[in-house]
Amino acid sequence: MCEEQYANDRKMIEHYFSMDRYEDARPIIENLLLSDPQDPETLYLMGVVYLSREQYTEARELVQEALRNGYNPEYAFFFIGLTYQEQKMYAEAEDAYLRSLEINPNQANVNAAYGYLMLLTGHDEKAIKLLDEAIRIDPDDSAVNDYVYRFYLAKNDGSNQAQYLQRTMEIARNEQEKLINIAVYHLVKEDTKTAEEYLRQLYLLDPTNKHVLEVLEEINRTNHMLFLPNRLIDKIGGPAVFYIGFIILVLVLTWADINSIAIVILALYLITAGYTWLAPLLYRLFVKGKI
Amino acid sequence: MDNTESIYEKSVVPNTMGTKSFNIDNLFLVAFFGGVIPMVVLGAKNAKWLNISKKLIYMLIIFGAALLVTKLVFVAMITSGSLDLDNTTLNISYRVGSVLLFIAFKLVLNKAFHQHMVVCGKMEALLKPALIWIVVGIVVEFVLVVAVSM
Repeated sequence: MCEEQYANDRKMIEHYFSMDRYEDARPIIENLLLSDPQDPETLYLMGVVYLSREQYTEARELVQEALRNGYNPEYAFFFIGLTYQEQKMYAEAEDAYLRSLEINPNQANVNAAYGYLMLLTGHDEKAIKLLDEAIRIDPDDSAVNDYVYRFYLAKNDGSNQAQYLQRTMEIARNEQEKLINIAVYHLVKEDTKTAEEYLRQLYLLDPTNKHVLEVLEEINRTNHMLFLPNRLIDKIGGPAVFYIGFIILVLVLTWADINSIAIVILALYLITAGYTWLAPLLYRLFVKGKI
Repeated sequence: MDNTESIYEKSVVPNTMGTKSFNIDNLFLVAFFGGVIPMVVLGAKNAKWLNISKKLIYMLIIFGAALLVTKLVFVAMITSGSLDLDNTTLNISYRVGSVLLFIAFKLVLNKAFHQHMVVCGKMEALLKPALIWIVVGIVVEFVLVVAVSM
């Protein structure tokens, strides 16, 4: 194959990758592999496609082969670490990240991914150190800021969340990234109405995204009229608080000898509590039309 | 940059699993229907999954055990006639106590549960273990109550 054609194909692949359209890049990569099945660059690109399909073992094997054929080990080990992390093989993921960092400790995204792995495995202090290091190396990297943002979301740290949400908005690569981050922010805050608005915009931009659709369906479900009593109970602090409040009310009424009202309240409580437990079933029966 | 070396050393022990959790709000039903025994069993299991410190878990278990022992002491006193209290009051108080135990578990687990939901987002199925442990709890409690009333 001529050099010019190869360069053109690579450009197309990068173009698709930058828009997260990995399946569209796949035929071009397959073609390249037909003419040179050992090319480390092409093998790596195929690994990325498999990663996007969540086929982690296959993705890793492709990149391991790329590595054997001379692919840059810094990137290859980082990629291998990511696949292990997704498969929850955390010790293996750590080994891979460390090998990548051993070759070059100044990789912001690897430091950030390793920091996030430390959060997943319960080493919070080390996680903060690594994320700080990643920010120090490259404060403008969008992947790095995403990791830091997710760390503070997980820790429920309000002021840092807002700060890094702002940061991710400033440096996001595209509109989708911005919308995802802001929607996640509102989802975690349990402000589902606002989250839904952003997710709808996101869905319009990318109607093929299954994850967005799933989250939207879940929001529709919890916002349904049938779950109104459940939402009200959650607002006052959950079923436990509701129950304790009810007990106190009934005891006060019986001590004051107003038994008739106490009985009415008891009946109301039983109906409400029973209804909240039946609501998911009713939803499946009447809204989804199936059990 | 004094301690950059230490951050590049291995920390993850082999076979480390990610956190797991039930929907901790639904443990309320476990406490409500099953009382102390299933609440402690499933709550402690959940706490272990979320890597809560052993000390806190033991404190919650002790709280649960104290509740159960208190109930049994009251039952014994009522049957021996040394305490004038009707069974309904005792049962309601015990149930309120179980729900308080649930609230204690929830307070301890809340932060770790939030983190788990953000980084993982999955919850373990609670229905089957809850039903099993509720039945076990009721049977064991019944046997204990009969034993102290004799």
